[in-house]
Amino acid sequence: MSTVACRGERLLEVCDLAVHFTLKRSLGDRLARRGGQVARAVDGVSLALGRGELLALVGESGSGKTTMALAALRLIDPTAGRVLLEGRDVTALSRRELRPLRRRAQLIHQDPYAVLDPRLRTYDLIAEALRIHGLKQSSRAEEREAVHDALEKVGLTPVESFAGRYPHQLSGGQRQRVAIAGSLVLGPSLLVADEPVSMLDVSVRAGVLDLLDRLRDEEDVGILMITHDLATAAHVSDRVAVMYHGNLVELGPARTVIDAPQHPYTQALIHAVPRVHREEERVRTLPGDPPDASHVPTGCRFHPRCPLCEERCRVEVPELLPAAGGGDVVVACHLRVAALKAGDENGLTG
Amino acid sequence: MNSDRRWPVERGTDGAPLRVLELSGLHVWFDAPDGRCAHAVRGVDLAVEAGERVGVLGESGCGKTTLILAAMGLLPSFASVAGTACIDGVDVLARGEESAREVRWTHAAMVFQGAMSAMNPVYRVGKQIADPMVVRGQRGKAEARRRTAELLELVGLPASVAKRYPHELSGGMRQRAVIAMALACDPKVLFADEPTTALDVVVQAQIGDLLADLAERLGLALVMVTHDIGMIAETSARAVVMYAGVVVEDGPTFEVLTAPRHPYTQLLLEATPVVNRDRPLVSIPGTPPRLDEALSGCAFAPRCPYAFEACAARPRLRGDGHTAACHARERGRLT
Repeated sequence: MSTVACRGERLLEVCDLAVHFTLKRSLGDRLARRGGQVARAVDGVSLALGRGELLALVGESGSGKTTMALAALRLIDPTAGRVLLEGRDVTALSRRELRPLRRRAQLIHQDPYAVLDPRLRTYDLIAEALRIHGLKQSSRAEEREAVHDALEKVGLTPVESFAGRYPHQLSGGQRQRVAIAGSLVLGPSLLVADEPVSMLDVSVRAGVLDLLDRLRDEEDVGILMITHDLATAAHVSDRVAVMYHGNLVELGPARTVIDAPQHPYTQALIHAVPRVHREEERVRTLPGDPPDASHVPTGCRFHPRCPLCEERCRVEVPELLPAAGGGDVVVACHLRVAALKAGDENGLTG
Repeated sequence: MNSDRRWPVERGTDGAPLRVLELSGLHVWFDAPDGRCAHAVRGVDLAVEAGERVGVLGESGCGKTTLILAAMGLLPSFASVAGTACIDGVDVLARGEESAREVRWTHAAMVFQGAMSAMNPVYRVGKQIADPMVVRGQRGKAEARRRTAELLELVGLPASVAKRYPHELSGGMRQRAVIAMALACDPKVLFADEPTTALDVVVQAQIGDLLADLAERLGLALVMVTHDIGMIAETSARAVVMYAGVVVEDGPTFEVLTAPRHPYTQLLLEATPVVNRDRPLVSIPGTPPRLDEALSGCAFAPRCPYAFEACAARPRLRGDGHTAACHARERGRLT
């Protein structure tokens, strides 16, 4: 199916992944003698990522993008669905069996200030990863070489001057590079980057994004980048996946999705991005508030906020299907598919 | 209050809009416990007229937040200041807390970044909006309640929100309630410190629109501090760019963002990803100067591609209507 098509050799495959959290029972729940409410953070998401591909997962907070990525790394146990990493089903493995796979799939956190132990020097921060994974090098010299190699790859040169520094002696961008080096030294094939630049200053963001771009090209690493910033996604990713309320609503090549969004939610999201050069006046901002995972609307989950909502949208759940506009984009919207059938383009392009 | 009504911009006797905020020669230092001293604001002159919408743009550590905290008289006790910060003619810094109290809420109010931490979790929203009016002696309790309902309507919230607690509201609603709180005593200047940063992109747009719209309707001066260039483009008529505690550029927003005159502004714009433009991103080499080190010349010179001998002296803001503090610009070395 087109939802799982990706560029190049398939590295990560997520099939019908669901993560539900049971919330604490409230007083009302206890009085009514029912269980706690269930928050459906991720509800049936399928996608694939190729080697050397950068896929941006975009959505508002609460859309389930981070949960989905953590479940893909099995840092959270999914409720249902499968995750294949390099062809192996990660969801079926025990914790012990998972361990050798961990170094193949690494997470880069949002906050480079919190992630580095303030008492360790850069060298030890990176070497620690090697030691933890039992990749103890036969000699000190080999370990040194591995660490220096990682520092060089992330552009922290001259290596000698950075290896001895403590985190507080580094700038935000340099810290994020150290964190990335700590992942790289393990030789991963997949990097999951959770908002890798949102804590950094604008003037250094481009450098870190370029680094991710280069790793994807030179090391053939597949990167799943979680971001709420469409502009960042537009600049570096090959494909963009848009999440809303635990579902994928649109997935396609980055430029196509950003330039000609199909789903009304993607359209609103792109429209809401403040910008310097705006060709047209901003028509409207999306009404309502971001969704609450414990209250799932019937039918299309976006219908309460959708400006184009029809009767059917309130009842039927839309499937992710090839979009009327073509361009390798899949979209979960009745109107987009209906427009395809009826040949009616007026519905959404206006 | 009829929410469609427009308030006229306050004018002086000569008919020109009143200068409601005037900072001159403002310096702020923070003393660290280890004896070092961070010079966060290094000589800023800024005048804002009634009804003006100004966006102060800069990266973290450039002194933009310190600037407005100083103007509100909200600096912590370990800060020392020099210069003046007049709000509606009252120098906030002159008599310490006493003079700051004269202007807070009634002349100048502030919207903070984290709407959750700006509200008290154990009081209902309505009480928190009404409190400043009662404390200031502007209105009685019943009158304050009525006014609270008006304010909530003004910021686009149902009157029932007054009975709710902050945790019952979404992030966007909470930020609206905080804006209503800031407007409680009819201030003339509204400061907003990264008012949209903690919010989702769609809600960000709503709040940005609301602030710009309120400033226009109520004839307020809006001073918004942010690192988000797009937000400034959409809400402010005038943009002020700060770097390392000084103003490096000041002018009409559209001009500053499309024809920047300072090399820092130029590079900052090139470093910012833009959703509808396809061009490579650049990063500015180096890092901003440490604030505990003394600066002699232009603060940006060590990172500036146009730096030359003259940059060893501190540049002044020059230009008519659209100013920049750059020697290279002054000598025509920059186009």
